[in-house]
Amino acid sequence: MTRTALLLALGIVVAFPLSLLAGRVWIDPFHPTIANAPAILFELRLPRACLALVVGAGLGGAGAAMQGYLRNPLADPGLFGIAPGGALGAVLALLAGAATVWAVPVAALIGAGGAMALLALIAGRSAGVALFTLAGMMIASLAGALTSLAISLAPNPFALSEIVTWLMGALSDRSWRDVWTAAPPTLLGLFVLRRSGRDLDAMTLGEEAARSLGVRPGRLQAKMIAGTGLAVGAGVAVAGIIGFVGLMVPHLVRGLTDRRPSQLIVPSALGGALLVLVADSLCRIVPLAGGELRLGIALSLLGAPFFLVLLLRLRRGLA
Amino acid sequence: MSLSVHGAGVADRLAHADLELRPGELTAICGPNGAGKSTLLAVLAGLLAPGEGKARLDGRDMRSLPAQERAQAIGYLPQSREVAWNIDVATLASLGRLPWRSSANDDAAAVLAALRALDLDDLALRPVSRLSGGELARALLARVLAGTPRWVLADEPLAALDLAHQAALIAHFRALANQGLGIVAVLHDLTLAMNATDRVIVLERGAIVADGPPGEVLTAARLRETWGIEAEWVRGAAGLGLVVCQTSA
Repeated sequence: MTRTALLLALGIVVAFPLSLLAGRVWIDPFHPTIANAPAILFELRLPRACLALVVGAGLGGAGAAMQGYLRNPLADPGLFGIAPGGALGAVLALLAGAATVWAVPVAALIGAGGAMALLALIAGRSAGVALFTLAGMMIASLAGALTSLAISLAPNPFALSEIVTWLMGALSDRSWRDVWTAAPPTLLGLFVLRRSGRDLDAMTLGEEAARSLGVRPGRLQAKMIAGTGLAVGAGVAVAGIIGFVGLMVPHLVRGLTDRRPSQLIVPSALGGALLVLVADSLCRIVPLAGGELRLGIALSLLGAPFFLVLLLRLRRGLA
Repeated sequence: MSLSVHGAGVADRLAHADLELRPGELTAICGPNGAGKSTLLAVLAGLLAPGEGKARLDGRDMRSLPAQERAQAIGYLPQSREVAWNIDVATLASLGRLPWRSSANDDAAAVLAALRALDLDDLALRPVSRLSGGELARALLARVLAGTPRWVLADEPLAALDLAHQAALIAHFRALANQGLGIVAVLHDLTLAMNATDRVIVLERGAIVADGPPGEVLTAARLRETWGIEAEWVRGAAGLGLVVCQTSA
């Protein structure tokens, strides 16, 4: 694991400075001819790159933990109601007019927290994985329906456009404030998930064997809900819905590890950080009339075919 | 060192059970489908709480025993052969070390010993997807042994194995019992139970109806009453063979 993690960390070290230079305005580090280059670097691109790392790490790490918990390589942290819950909170804040800059992220965190609480309430008693999955999907679809309802009630086209744009997920025009909002909960969430590594390893053998190895299912479930809730909820709060990272990254990284869930969490967090950083930089430089490609859309365009290939490979494996 | 259940009742699956297991013995739990065998095993493993009664490990109530301590003492091999990720055999066996927070060296030594005991040295680096059914069964047992338990409780460990692998696995169980471990296995094969175990516990509709040495327990009368079959034991050079004549009406 350490070798894989080092490799990915090295990738971030290389990609990070490059991402600061890339964009609509290219900055030549040796001949900075642009007058406001420091402002572009330190006030726009540096926080944006940091935010990409934070959001990507949260999604990647949560994806790895969730796949380990559910013993399913197709699990994505977005499926279990936490991201849709956060999105619902943000949409309601936007609908209400979002008077301050804090309103949207705080409302999104409250929404994600609400989804977590609901998930714990419904799935908690049995502490089983099947009920957890069904409850999560129910919450996701409920939050999705309520979000659609809120959008349909938008008072004017401007509010509608603002909401829809936010939902697409992006890191453009973000500031240090967003970094400070997202980083602490994400890191705390990843810490909780990594601490559950031994229990997730035991889950490899099924729930019954895991219990015989000393795993307490109720505790593990609570840690999963809290960890993914914090890591994913914080990302949604500042960047909107960014899909497929939590699904793709653990897959790409798993082959480089010994495939134990515990050994996958940190490399997946690093891989997610790298993926979102690179994808966001590419979004900036892709020439697109009328603005830049939205990160959420770009990753979904990348992720859907990836998911299809994965399904085909799984089907071949089963046949 | 003891593992016991007294007056255990679990809903409608296990009405009543009173038994005490002894180390160094290979015990079979037998009975028709739905008799409560797996339930009894799960109660003994501390995974199911007995309703009225008590499950005890070395005289201590299993309910108040910390999960980690219980996991160190009792190795449980579930019926499901699930291994969710395509890990290699050595990594699989190392999962048995999870209840111990021991040094990496101790863990490696225990895993190596478990792999050796089951003749898996050569397969240590092979991923589980490339194991045969018999190899996987051994690898899963190696996982249990790597935890150096004092008790091994196995739920139908021989299911889906061919005759040679069944005999080999039973031989492994026997060797473990000779080393002083207490082994309990749910078995459907009454011939194996008769020839290879020290003690047979027969369950019928959630209650223990017979408990003792196999020769005294698995009588023709017992087979008729509990399984509803007319059968007789025939002595051969290697032991007793069961000939089933017909199912009784």
